[in-house]
Amino acid sequence: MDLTKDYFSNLGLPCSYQIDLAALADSHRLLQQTHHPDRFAASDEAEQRQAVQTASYLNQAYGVLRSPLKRAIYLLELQGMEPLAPTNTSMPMDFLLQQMQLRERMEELPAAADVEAELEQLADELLVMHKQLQTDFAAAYEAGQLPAAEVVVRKLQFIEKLQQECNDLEGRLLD
Amino acid sequence: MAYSEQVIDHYENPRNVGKMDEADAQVGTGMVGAPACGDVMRLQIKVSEEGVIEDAKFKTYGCGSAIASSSLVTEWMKGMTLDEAGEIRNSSISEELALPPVKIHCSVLAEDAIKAAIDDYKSKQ
Repeated sequence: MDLTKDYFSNLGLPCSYQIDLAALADSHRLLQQTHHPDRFAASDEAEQRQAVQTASYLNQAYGVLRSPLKRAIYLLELQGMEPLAPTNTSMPMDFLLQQMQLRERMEELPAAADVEAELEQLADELLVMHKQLQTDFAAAYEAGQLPAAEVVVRKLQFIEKLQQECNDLEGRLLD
Repeated sequence: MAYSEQVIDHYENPRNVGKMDEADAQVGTGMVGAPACGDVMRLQIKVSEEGVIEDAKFKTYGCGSAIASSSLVTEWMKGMTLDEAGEIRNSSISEELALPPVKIHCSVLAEDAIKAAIDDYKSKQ
């Protein structure tokens, strides 16, 4: 396996956003078996080292490709872009407004009458937004509209952050 | 990671947290976001007839450094002219707060929020 090649080609998948996750899991499992360091216990040091590197590469690749956000970032990185560069703080105004509102809502949530229902409602809404952004990314990327795709990736990052905070809040409030 | 005393001070006692009327012609609102960490910041200025910033408010959802950066600049901006406020650089913010390199982007966020608020105010005149 040529580890300098991209994750898609090494895992035998088309270089695309919409991938078959079952095929990805199968391919990852099969390759992990073939390259498992245990199989090289009797081999020389160089081969053993190679096997460890390959196993690590495969885990890394699997982690990136199965995550909707990381896969999107990776596709843009293959195009030489850096979608999450910290110097870029300009986002569409309506999106930022919505972010502020969602965060205000989350801040006030612990005081709600039915905390559990409110949390569930918020988590559901975030999930819907996350799914929509995945669709938006696929459309922009497949159409070659990379700057637009980059904005979608940033939005996804914000939504995942909110989902994370929503989970943390749930852990604090409901345990 | 240890926060500096200045960051902790602003984080525990943030100055000028709040909201102004966005529709007010005297008010400029800047909103920015940092995708790398998912922080969002709203910075508002109220500008007098003479072009001096009379009041500044902020609301930041983010880490201690992002909150401290925005809190600090609201203090700095009061009494400044728009031109003076527009010259505030992230390096001054990070220096004042002793931000470590990984948190420099929080001061960049605050600088960009200032510019956005000034631009918004100017576009209303």
